[in-house]
Amino acid sequence: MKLNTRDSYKKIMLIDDNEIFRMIFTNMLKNIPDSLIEVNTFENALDGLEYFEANKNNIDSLPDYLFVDINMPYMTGWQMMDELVNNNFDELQKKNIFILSSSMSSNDMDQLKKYPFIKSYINKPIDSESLHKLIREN
Amino acid sequence: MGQSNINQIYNDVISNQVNLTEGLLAVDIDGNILSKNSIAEYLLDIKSHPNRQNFITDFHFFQIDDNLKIKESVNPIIHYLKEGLELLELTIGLKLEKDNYRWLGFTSKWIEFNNTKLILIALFDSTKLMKNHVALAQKQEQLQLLVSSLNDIVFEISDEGNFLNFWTNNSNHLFFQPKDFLNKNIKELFPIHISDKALELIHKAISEQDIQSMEFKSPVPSHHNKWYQVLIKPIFQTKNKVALIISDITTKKELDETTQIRDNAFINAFHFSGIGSALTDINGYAIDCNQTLTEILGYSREDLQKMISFDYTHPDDVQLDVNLRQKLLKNEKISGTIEKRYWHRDGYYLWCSATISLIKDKYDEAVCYIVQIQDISEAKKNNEILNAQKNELENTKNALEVKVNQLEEFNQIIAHNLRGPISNIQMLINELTTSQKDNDQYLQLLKKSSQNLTDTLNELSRVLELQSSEKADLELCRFSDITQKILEQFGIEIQKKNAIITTHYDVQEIKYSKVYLESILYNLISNSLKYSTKPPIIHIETFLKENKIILKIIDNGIGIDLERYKDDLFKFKKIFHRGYDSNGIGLFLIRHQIESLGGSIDIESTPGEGTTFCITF
Repeated sequence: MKLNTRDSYKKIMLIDDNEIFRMIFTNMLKNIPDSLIEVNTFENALDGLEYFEANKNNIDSLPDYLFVDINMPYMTGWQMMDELVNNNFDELQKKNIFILSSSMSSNDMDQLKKYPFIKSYINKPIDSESLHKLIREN
Repeated sequence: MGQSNINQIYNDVISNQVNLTEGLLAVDIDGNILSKNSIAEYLLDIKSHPNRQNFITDFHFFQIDDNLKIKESVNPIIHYLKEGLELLELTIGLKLEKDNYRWLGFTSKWIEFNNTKLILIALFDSTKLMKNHVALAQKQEQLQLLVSSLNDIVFEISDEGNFLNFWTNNSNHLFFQPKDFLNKNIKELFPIHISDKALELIHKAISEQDIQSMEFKSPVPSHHNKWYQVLIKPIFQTKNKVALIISDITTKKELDETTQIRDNAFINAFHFSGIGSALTDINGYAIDCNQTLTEILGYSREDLQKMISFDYTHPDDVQLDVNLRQKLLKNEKISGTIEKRYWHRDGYYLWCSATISLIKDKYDEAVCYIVQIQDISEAKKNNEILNAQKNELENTKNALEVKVNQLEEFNQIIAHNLRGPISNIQMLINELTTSQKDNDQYLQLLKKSSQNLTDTLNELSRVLELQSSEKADLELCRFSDITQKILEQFGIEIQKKNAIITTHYDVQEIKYSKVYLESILYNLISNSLKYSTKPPIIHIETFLKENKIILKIIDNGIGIDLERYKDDLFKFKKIFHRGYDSNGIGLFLIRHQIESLGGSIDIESTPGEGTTFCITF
């Protein structure tokens, strides 16, 4: 196995309060073939936002893929999306942002329309294969 | 003629008459008084006028004309006697002083004395008679005037029923021409039913010396449809005739009939009305009432006549009744309707609609009230039932709204809090089956996930129990006791944080679930103690607002940004503050407890200054 170019180096960030999911998610990505993957996780949106704020001027620090859960303490995923808009995290919005939630309620589906920069809404559970595919194709 | 002749005449003709009451005098053809007796001297007032020697030249005579006026008369001697006529009781007047007149009955006779024609005159004083005559004539004239001013016809009729005389102002009033009824009997002129009755009353009037009356309808075609009243008056000290006064009463009769019809209409409307009706005097005593009223109120007519209306009116409604009656008395309205409660004889109040109007006489004096009463207790009751049903519906609607909200919320809980762990488990199983690596770790995670799911389910079922179980047992809870108990549980915490807790209970007790109340106070006091950076000051108070018991818990803690979090505040597993040990269950749980007993919870807060929770039970 040989490491590919810099292009195949992918930074992935997950914001989810569920510890177990964070571990599964991280494990799933470790197993992507032919890619160098760096996974960062935060257990709530506030911590994530603090990271982005701290690295606002450092484009390289931004993840290529951002997965955000909806139902979290202190701040929901949707509220975090509002923050991205309100605090002008423009560069981040150009990245691949996904909502990742177990909710299938129409309420949440409707929210999606408010944020055109979100790539898609992914329902939990996910399997490694579709996650790998997602990363490959975006 | 010489003195001897005169003396002779006197002696032979006049003085021979002994005990004369008449004045006598002898006058020759030229009027010279040849001889006279003392009575004649007196009657002719010769003593006061000694120059009265000639009957023609020395006297002025007067008479009374048809209009009872006194005017100068021609001297009877000139007028009649010179022509050789004799007079019998001609009345002439002689003027005395002061406009007094002496009236003299004047009779003359021609006599031959010594071949000379003489006039022998006899005079008697008829002043008294004349006065009577004048008075009578005047009375008659007055009577004529009176009769002419009346529309009545006055008849004089004999005890046998014969018409003797009549007076009328307008002969058109008469049924018959005078010639056709005068001296005719009533039986010949009138049908038997009128004549018999009239005769009977004529006899009665005479025997009892009292006025009798009857009415009859005209029997003759010329006076069709006319009604008459007959007054039969006895004539003083007369037994064989009476006065009969006939008046046209057609108009009055028609009026009476109209009134009678109106009265009958009113009486029928009053007595046979389906509405309870009463006539009451100004003080409120019933004068009369109908059957319906006695049925509505249970009192007999006699009962109602002994009571004033306020005696059987609900005390709270008396003023209403008084106000209406005063308005009627002041002419502010003609009638008015109020809803009031009457005290039924059987001892309960019933709601009635009472319409009261005031009857006044033509002098605008209040005479009586007409009170009309309808029992509306049934309608009132139905209305109350309707209102109760409406309230019940409203409550049901509110309860349903709460339920719908709760269902939506549970949907959210399922979406986020149950699907989460389940999807974890699915993923773990999937990973375990597809990959051989990390199996131990995955199994550990699976176990943890399962535990996680169980915990969440347990928490949820606590809340679901609140929803589905029968209402919690209610008991009398003293706010002070329960607060005290909770504060003791937080004793160490309070000491550690130097918390100050004050209480004020306007409402001491509440009938409520003790477990819920403890849970409410525990969670809110716990929050106030937990979410603070400075020594907590917590004030707990109860009071009454719009008939509802309110519990307020006010703190000086860190507060919360309501604009941002209010929607989620009382929801399942919502956590808003980093760095505090929270599970997001407390507010969710107490909200469901409060709502399950029909209350509500609200919050006011300013970040950095404090929070007030307000529970309306």
